[in-house]
Amino acid sequence: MISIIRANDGAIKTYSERPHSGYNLALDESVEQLDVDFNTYAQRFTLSCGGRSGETLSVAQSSGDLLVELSCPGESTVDVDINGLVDTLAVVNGKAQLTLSTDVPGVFLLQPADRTRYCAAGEAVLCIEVNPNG
Amino acid sequence: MTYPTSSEVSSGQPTYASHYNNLRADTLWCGSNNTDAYPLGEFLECYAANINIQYLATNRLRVPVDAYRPPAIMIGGCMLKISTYKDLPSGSFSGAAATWYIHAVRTAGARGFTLSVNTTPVDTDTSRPIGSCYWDGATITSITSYFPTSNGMPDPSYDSGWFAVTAGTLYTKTHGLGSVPHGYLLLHSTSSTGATENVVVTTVKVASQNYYYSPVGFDSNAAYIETGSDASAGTLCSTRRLSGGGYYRLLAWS
Repeated sequence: MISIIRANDGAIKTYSERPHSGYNLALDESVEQLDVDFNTYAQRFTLSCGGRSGETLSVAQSSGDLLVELSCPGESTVDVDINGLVDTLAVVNGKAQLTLSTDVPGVFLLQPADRTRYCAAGEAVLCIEVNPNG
Repeated sequence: MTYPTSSEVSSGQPTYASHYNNLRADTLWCGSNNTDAYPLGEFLECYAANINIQYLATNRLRVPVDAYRPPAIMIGGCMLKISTYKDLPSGSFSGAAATWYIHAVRTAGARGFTLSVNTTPVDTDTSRPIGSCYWDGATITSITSYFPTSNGMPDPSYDSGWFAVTAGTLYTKTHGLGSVPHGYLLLHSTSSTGATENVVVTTVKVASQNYYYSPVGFDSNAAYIETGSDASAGTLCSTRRLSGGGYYRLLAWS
Protein backbone atom coordinates (compact mmCIF):
# COMPACT_ATOMS: atom_id res chain seq x y z
CA MET A 1 0.00 0.00 0.00
CA ILE A 2 1.48 3.35 -1.05
CA SER A 3 0.30 6.94 -0.71
CA ILE A 4 -0.02 9.26 -3.67
CA ILE A 5 -0.18 12.98 -2.98
CA ARG A 6 -1.79 15.20 -5.59
CA ALA A 7 -1.52 18.96 -5.85
CA ASN A 8 -4.69 21.00 -6.25
CA ASP A 9 -4.33 20.89 -10.07
CA GLY A 10 -4.37 17.08 -10.02
CA ALA A 11 -0.65 16.70 -10.71
CA ILE A 12 1.01 13.92 -8.75
CA LYS A 13 3.29 15.73 -6.33
CA THR A 14 4.92 12.70 -4.73
CA TYR A 15 4.30 9.13 -3.74
CA SER A 16 5.36 7.48 -0.54
CA GLU A 17 6.41 4.00 0.45
CA ARG A 18 4.51 4.22 3.69
CA PRO A 19 0.77 4.87 3.89
CA HIS A 20 1.33 8.16 5.65
CA SER A 21 -1.06 11.03 5.27
CA GLY A 22 1.80 13.43 4.60
CA TYR A 23 -0.23 15.93 2.66
CA ASN A 24 -0.84 19.59 3.23
CA LEU A 25 -4.47 20.57 3.43
CA ALA A 26 -3.47 24.22 3.48
CA LEU A 27 -2.13 23.77 -0.04
CA ASP A 28 -5.34 21.98 -1.04
CA GLU A 29 -3.47 18.74 -1.62
CA SER A 30 -5.19 15.37 -1.54
CA VAL A 31 -4.04 11.86 -0.78
CA GLU A 32 -4.87 8.51 -2.33
CA GLN A 33 -3.96 5.06 -1.06
CA LEU A 34 -3.04 2.59 -3.77
CA ASP A 35 -2.54 -1.13 -3.27
CA VAL A 36 0.62 -1.46 -5.34
CA ASP A 37 4.28 -2.02 -4.57
CA PHE A 38 6.27 1.20 -4.20
CA ASN A 39 9.07 0.11 -6.52
CA THR A 40 6.63 -1.09 -9.17
CA TYR A 41 4.94 2.30 -9.08
CA ALA A 42 8.29 4.09 -9.24
CA GLN A 43 9.30 2.14 -12.35
CA ARG A 44 6.24 3.21 -14.37
CA PHE A 45 8.25 6.08 -15.84
CA THR A 46 12.00 6.38 -15.44
CA LEU A 47 14.65 8.36 -17.27
CA SER A 48 18.31 7.46 -17.30
CA CYS A 49 21.49 8.34 -19.09
CA GLY A 50 24.52 6.08 -19.02
CA GLY A 51 22.71 3.88 -16.53
CA ARG A 52 22.29 6.73 -14.05
CA SER A 53 19.01 8.20 -12.89
CA GLY A 54 17.71 10.21 -9.97
CA GLU A 55 20.80 12.40 -9.95
CA THR A 56 22.27 15.27 -11.91
CA LEU A 57 24.72 14.35 -14.64
CA SER A 58 27.48 16.70 -15.59
CA VAL A 59 29.14 16.46 -19.00
CA ALA A 60 31.54 18.63 -20.95
CA GLN A 61 30.51 20.63 -23.98
CA SER A 62 31.17 18.89 -27.30
CA SER A 63 31.66 15.55 -25.59
CA GLY A 64 29.36 13.74 -28.00
CA ASP A 65 25.67 13.03 -28.11
CA LEU A 66 23.91 11.80 -25.00
CA LEU A 67 21.58 8.84 -25.22
CA VAL A 68 18.71 9.13 -22.78
CA GLU A 69 16.74 5.98 -22.11
CA LEU A 70 13.15 6.00 -21.01
CA SER A 71 11.35 3.08 -19.43
CA CYS A 72 7.57 3.15 -19.53
CA PRO A 73 6.21 -0.41 -19.41
CA GLY A 74 2.86 -1.11 -21.04
CA GLU A 75 2.73 2.03 -23.20
CA SER A 76 3.05 2.50 -26.97
CA THR A 77 3.86 6.22 -26.85
CA VAL A 78 4.80 8.63 -24.11
CA ASP A 79 5.16 12.41 -23.90
CA VAL A 80 8.38 13.78 -22.44
CA ASP A 81 8.88 17.37 -21.37
CA ILE A 82 12.36 18.57 -22.33
CA ASN A 83 13.02 22.07 -21.04
CA GLY A 84 9.34 22.90 -21.46
CA LEU A 85 8.93 21.42 -24.94
CA VAL A 86 6.94 18.22 -25.24
CA ASP A 87 8.28 15.39 -27.40
CA THR A 88 6.22 12.28 -28.13
CA LEU A 89 8.31 9.13 -28.17
CA ALA A 90 7.43 5.70 -29.51
CA VAL A 91 7.74 3.05 -26.84
CA VAL A 92 8.81 -0.45 -27.88
CA ASN A 93 8.79 -3.23 -25.32
CA GLY A 94 8.48 -0.62 -22.62
CA LYS A 95 11.57 1.30 -23.76
CA ALA A 96 12.23 4.49 -25.69
CA GLN A 97 15.30 6.55 -26.43
CA LEU A 98 16.18 10.10 -27.34
CA THR A 99 19.43 11.83 -28.17
CA LEU A 100 20.66 15.12 -26.76
CA SER A 101 23.44 17.22 -28.21
CA THR A 102 26.27 18.55 -26.10
CA ASP A 103 27.26 21.18 -28.67
CA VAL A 104 25.81 24.04 -26.63
CA PRO A 105 26.35 24.49 -22.88
CA GLY A 106 23.28 24.58 -20.71
CA VAL A 107 20.94 22.43 -18.69
CA PHE A 108 18.59 19.73 -19.94
CA LEU A 109 15.65 19.04 -17.66
CA LEU A 110 13.59 16.03 -18.67
CA GLN A 111 10.39 14.90 -16.99
CA PRO A 112 7.00 13.41 -17.83
CA ALA A 113 4.64 15.77 -19.63
CA ASP A 114 1.49 14.27 -18.19
CA ARG A 115 1.81 15.10 -14.50
CA THR A 116 -1.59 13.71 -13.60
CA ARG A 117 -0.46 10.29 -14.78
CA TYR A 118 3.21 10.29 -13.87
CA CYS A 119 5.01 11.99 -11.02
CA ALA A 120 7.82 14.34 -12.07
CA ALA A 121 10.00 13.23 -9.18
CA GLY A 122 12.20 10.33 -8.15
CA GLU A 123 13.71 8.65 -11.22
CA ALA A 124 11.21 10.34 -13.54
CA VAL A 125 13.12 13.62 -13.53
CA LEU A 126 16.56 13.82 -15.08
CA CYS A 127 18.85 16.82 -15.11
CA ILE A 128 21.93 16.98 -17.32
CA GLU A 129 24.36 19.88 -17.16
CA VAL A 130 26.46 20.56 -20.22
CA ASN A 131 29.41 22.57 -18.99
CA PRO A 132 31.30 24.98 -21.23
CA ASN A 133 34.80 24.04 -22.26
CA GLY A 134 37.73 25.99 -20.93
CA MET B 1 28.07 -4.53 53.02
CA THR B 2 28.44 -8.20 53.81
CA TYR B 3 26.83 -10.36 51.20
CA PRO B 4 25.51 -12.96 51.43
CA THR B 5 24.44 -12.70 55.05
CA SER B 6 23.27 -16.32 55.16
CA SER B 7 25.76 -19.16 55.71
CA GLU B 8 25.86 -22.83 54.90
CA VAL B 9 24.64 -25.34 57.46
CA SER B 10 26.02 -28.83 57.87
CA SER B 11 24.07 -32.02 57.98
CA GLY B 12 22.74 -32.52 61.50
CA GLN B 13 23.54 -28.94 62.55
CA PRO B 14 20.68 -27.23 64.37
CA THR B 15 19.26 -24.31 62.38
CA TYR B 16 18.13 -21.16 64.04
CA ALA B 17 15.79 -18.30 63.22
CA SER B 18 18.82 -16.27 62.15
CA HIS B 19 19.68 -18.80 59.49
CA TYR B 20 16.21 -18.48 58.00
CA ASN B 21 16.04 -14.70 58.37
CA ASN B 22 19.47 -14.14 56.85
CA LEU B 23 18.55 -16.36 53.95
CA ARG B 24 15.27 -14.45 53.57
CA ALA B 25 17.14 -11.13 53.65
CA ASP B 26 19.51 -12.40 50.95
CA THR B 27 16.59 -13.53 48.83
CA LEU B 28 14.34 -10.53 49.22
CA TRP B 29 16.77 -7.62 49.62
CA CYS B 30 20.09 -9.04 48.38
CA GLY B 31 21.45 -8.93 51.91
CA SER B 32 20.04 -5.51 52.75
CA ASN B 33 16.83 -4.91 54.72
CA ASN B 34 13.32 -3.68 54.14
CA THR B 35 14.07 -0.10 55.16
CA ASP B 36 17.01 0.30 52.79
CA ALA B 37 15.83 -1.67 49.80
CA TYR B 38 12.76 -2.73 47.91
CA PRO B 39 12.15 -6.47 47.70
CA LEU B 40 13.76 -7.99 44.63
CA GLY B 41 10.46 -8.97 43.05
CA GLU B 42 9.08 -5.47 43.47
CA PHE B 43 12.28 -3.98 42.09
CA LEU B 44 12.11 -6.22 39.04
CA GLU B 45 8.54 -5.12 38.37
CA CYS B 46 10.24 -2.22 36.57
CA TYR B 47 12.38 -4.51 34.46
CA ALA B 48 12.00 -4.73 30.72
CA ALA B 49 14.72 -4.99 28.08
CA ASN B 50 15.33 -5.35 24.37
CA ILE B 51 11.76 -4.59 23.42
CA ASN B 52 12.04 -2.78 20.11
CA ILE B 53 8.75 -1.97 18.48
CA GLN B 54 8.74 -1.73 14.69
CA TYR B 55 6.20 -0.82 12.06
CA LEU B 56 4.61 -3.74 10.20
CA ALA B 57 2.49 -3.16 7.09
CA THR B 58 -0.27 -2.27 7.13
CA ASN B 59 -0.95 -0.39 10.37
CA ARG B 60 0.44 -3.17 12.52
CA LEU B 61 3.34 -3.41 14.95
CA ARG B 62 6.02 -6.01 15.56
CA VAL B 63 8.42 -6.82 18.39
CA PRO B 64 11.37 -8.54 16.69
CA VAL B 65 13.65 -11.02 18.43
CA ASP B 66 17.43 -11.05 18.58
CA ALA B 67 18.52 -14.49 19.82
CA TYR B 68 21.38 -12.96 21.80
CA ARG B 69 19.27 -10.18 23.28
CA PRO B 70 15.75 -11.58 23.58
CA PRO B 71 12.92 -9.29 24.62
CA ALA B 72 12.21 -9.81 28.33
CA ILE B 73 9.85 -8.20 30.79
CA MET B 74 8.31 -8.74 34.22
CA ILE B 75 4.54 -8.41 34.41
CA GLY B 76 2.56 -9.06 37.57
CA GLY B 77 5.57 -10.71 39.22
CA CYS B 78 6.08 -13.10 36.31
CA MET B 79 9.38 -13.10 34.42
CA LEU B 80 8.59 -13.40 30.73
CA LYS B 81 10.69 -13.79 27.61
CA ILE B 82 9.90 -14.39 23.93
CA SER B 83 11.91 -16.32 21.38
CA THR B 84 9.81 -15.58 18.29
CA TYR B 85 8.60 -12.20 17.09
CA LYS B 86 5.24 -10.95 18.22
CA ASP B 87 2.86 -9.08 15.89
CA LEU B 88 -0.09 -6.91 16.70
CA PRO B 89 -3.24 -8.24 15.00
CA SER B 90 -4.66 -6.33 12.03
CA GLY B 91 -7.44 -3.87 12.67
CA SER B 92 -6.25 -2.91 16.15
CA PHE B 93 -6.51 0.83 15.51
CA SER B 94 -9.63 2.85 14.83
CA GLY B 95 -11.27 6.19 15.47
CA ALA B 96 -9.94 9.72 15.45
CA ALA B 97 -6.31 10.79 15.68
CA ALA B 98 -4.79 9.92 19.06
CA THR B 99 -1.76 8.57 20.86
CA TRP B 100 -2.13 4.83 21.39
CA TYR B 101 -0.19 2.85 23.99
CA ILE B 102 1.33 -0.49 23.15
CA HIS B 103 1.08 -3.13 25.87
CA ALA B 104 2.83 -6.41 26.59
CA VAL B 105 0.15 -8.79 27.80
CA ARG B 106 0.66 -11.83 30.02
CA THR B 107 -1.57 -14.90 29.87
CA ALA B 108 -1.78 -17.47 32.67
CA GLY B 109 0.11 -20.62 31.76
CA ALA B 110 2.44 -18.88 29.28
CA ARG B 111 5.98 -17.58 29.86
CA GLY B 112 5.91 -15.26 26.86
CA PHE B 113 3.76 -12.24 26.07
CA THR B 114 1.54 -10.91 23.32
CA LEU B 115 0.75 -7.38 22.14
CA SER B 116 -2.30 -5.19 22.43
CA VAL B 117 -3.00 -1.47 22.08
CA ASN B 118 -5.15 0.95 23.98
CA THR B 119 -5.58 4.70 24.19
CA THR B 120 -4.70 4.61 27.91
CA PRO B 121 -1.44 3.30 29.41
CA VAL B 122 -2.85 0.55 31.61
CA ASP B 123 -0.39 -1.09 34.04
CA THR B 124 -1.93 -4.14 35.68
CA ASP B 125 -0.94 -7.65 36.84
CA THR B 126 -1.45 -8.85 33.26
CA SER B 127 -0.43 -5.85 31.16
CA ARG B 128 2.36 -3.29 30.94
CA PRO B 129 2.88 -0.37 28.56
CA ILE B 130 5.99 -0.92 26.44
CA GLY B 131 5.63 1.95 23.99
CA SER B 132 3.34 4.36 22.23
CA CYS B 133 2.45 5.30 18.70
CA TYR B 134 0.53 8.02 16.96
CA TRP B 135 -2.56 7.11 14.96
CA ASP B 136 -3.59 9.94 12.65
CA GLY B 137 -7.04 8.51 12.00
CA ALA B 138 -5.90 6.43 9.03
CA THR B 139 -2.30 5.36 9.57
CA ILE B 140 0.41 4.92 12.18
CA THR B 141 2.84 7.80 11.77
CA SER B 142 5.35 7.31 14.60
CA ILE B 143 6.40 4.71 17.15
CA THR B 144 8.25 5.08 20.45
CA SER B 145 9.72 2.07 22.26
CA TYR B 146 10.04 2.52 26.03
CA PHE B 147 12.56 -0.31 26.51
CA PRO B 148 14.70 -0.58 23.38
CA THR B 149 18.00 -2.41 23.19
CA SER B 150 20.35 -0.02 24.93
CA ASN B 151 23.52 -0.36 22.89
CA GLY B 152 23.77 1.51 19.63
CA MET B 153 21.25 3.89 18.16
CA PRO B 154 17.64 2.94 18.93
CA ASP B 155 15.17 2.48 16.12
CA PRO B 156 13.83 5.85 14.99
CA SER B 157 10.56 7.04 16.47
CA TYR B 158 9.48 8.14 13.02
CA ASP B 159 10.36 6.65 9.64
CA SER B 160 8.79 8.23 6.59
CA GLY B 161 9.81 5.41 4.27
CA TRP B 162 11.10 6.41 0.85
CA PHE B 163 9.17 9.02 -1.09
CA ALA B 164 9.79 10.61 -4.47
CA VAL B 165 11.06 14.19 -4.52
CA THR B 166 11.78 16.94 -6.98
CA ALA B 167 13.13 20.49 -6.86
CA GLY B 168 11.16 23.45 -5.54
CA THR B 169 8.59 21.52 -3.54
CA LEU B 170 7.38 21.52 0.06
CA TYR B 171 6.76 18.08 1.54
CA THR B 172 4.85 17.81 4.82
CA LYS B 173 5.23 14.66 6.87
CA THR B 174 3.11 14.07 9.95
CA HIS B 175 5.29 12.47 12.63
CA GLY B 176 2.84 12.96 15.53
CA LEU B 177 5.56 12.73 18.18
CA GLY B 178 3.99 15.46 20.30
CA SER B 179 7.20 17.47 20.44
CA VAL B 180 10.02 18.57 18.19
CA PRO B 181 12.28 15.53 17.65
CA HIS B 182 15.65 15.48 19.41
CA GLY B 183 17.39 14.30 16.29
CA TYR B 184 16.79 13.48 12.65
CA LEU B 185 18.43 12.11 9.54
CA LEU B 186 17.34 12.93 6.01
CA LEU B 187 18.64 10.50 3.40
CA HIS B 188 18.70 10.70 -0.39
CA SER B 189 18.83 7.77 -2.78
CA THR B 190 18.65 7.59 -6.56
CA SER B 191 16.86 4.26 -6.29
CA SER B 192 13.29 3.66 -5.15
CA THR B 193 14.54 0.68 -3.15
CA GLY B 194 17.18 2.78 -1.40
CA ALA B 195 19.75 0.37 -2.80
CA THR B 196 22.13 3.05 -4.07
CA GLU B 197 24.32 5.05 -1.73
CA ASN B 198 22.23 6.87 0.88
CA VAL B 199 23.62 10.40 0.97
CA VAL B 200 22.82 12.56 4.00
CA VAL B 201 20.93 15.68 2.95
CA THR B 202 22.15 18.78 4.75
CA THR B 203 21.95 21.38 1.99
CA VAL B 204 19.97 22.04 -1.16
CA LYS B 205 20.43 24.79 -3.71
CA VAL B 206 18.14 27.61 -4.76
CA ALA B 207 18.11 28.44 -8.48
CA SER B 208 20.15 31.37 -9.73
CA GLN B 209 21.81 31.86 -6.35
CA ASN B 210 25.01 30.56 -4.94
CA TYR B 211 23.17 29.99 -1.67
CA TYR B 212 22.72 26.64 -0.05
CA TYR B 213 20.04 25.93 2.51
CA SER B 214 19.09 23.28 5.00
CA PRO B 215 15.71 21.96 3.86
CA VAL B 216 14.22 20.58 7.10
CA GLY B 217 12.05 22.06 9.86
CA PHE B 218 9.86 20.57 12.56
CA ASP B 219 7.01 21.38 14.86
CA SER B 220 5.46 19.10 17.44
CA ASN B 221 3.31 17.33 14.89
CA ALA B 222 4.97 17.51 11.48
CA ALA B 223 8.20 17.74 9.54
CA TYR B 224 8.54 20.24 6.72
CA ILE B 225 11.00 19.44 3.96
CA GLU B 226 11.35 22.15 1.36
CA THR B 227 13.59 21.36 -1.57
CA GLY B 228 15.53 24.09 -3.35
CA SER B 229 14.34 25.41 -6.69
CA ASP B 230 17.55 24.57 -8.57
CA ALA B 231 16.91 21.78 -11.10
CA SER B 232 20.44 20.42 -10.71
CA ALA B 233 20.85 20.47 -6.94
CA GLY B 234 17.43 21.26 -5.51
CA THR B 235 17.07 17.96 -3.65
CA LEU B 236 20.71 17.27 -2.86
CA CYS B 237 23.86 19.34 -2.91
CA SER B 238 26.69 17.16 -1.68
CA THR B 239 30.21 16.29 -2.72
CA ARG B 240 28.87 12.77 -3.03
CA ARG B 241 26.14 13.65 -5.48
CA LEU B 242 23.99 16.41 -6.96
CA SER B 243 20.34 15.81 -7.64
CA GLY B 244 17.12 17.53 -8.53
CA GLY B 245 15.09 14.34 -8.10
CA GLY B 246 15.52 10.98 -6.43
CA TYR B 247 14.00 9.80 -3.18
CA TYR B 248 14.08 10.99 0.42
CA ARG B 249 13.71 9.06 3.65
CA LEU B 250 13.30 10.94 6.92
CA LEU B 251 14.20 9.30 10.24
CA ALA B 252 13.51 11.12 13.52
CA TRP B 253 14.13 10.33 17.16
CA SER B 254 11.94 11.71 19.93
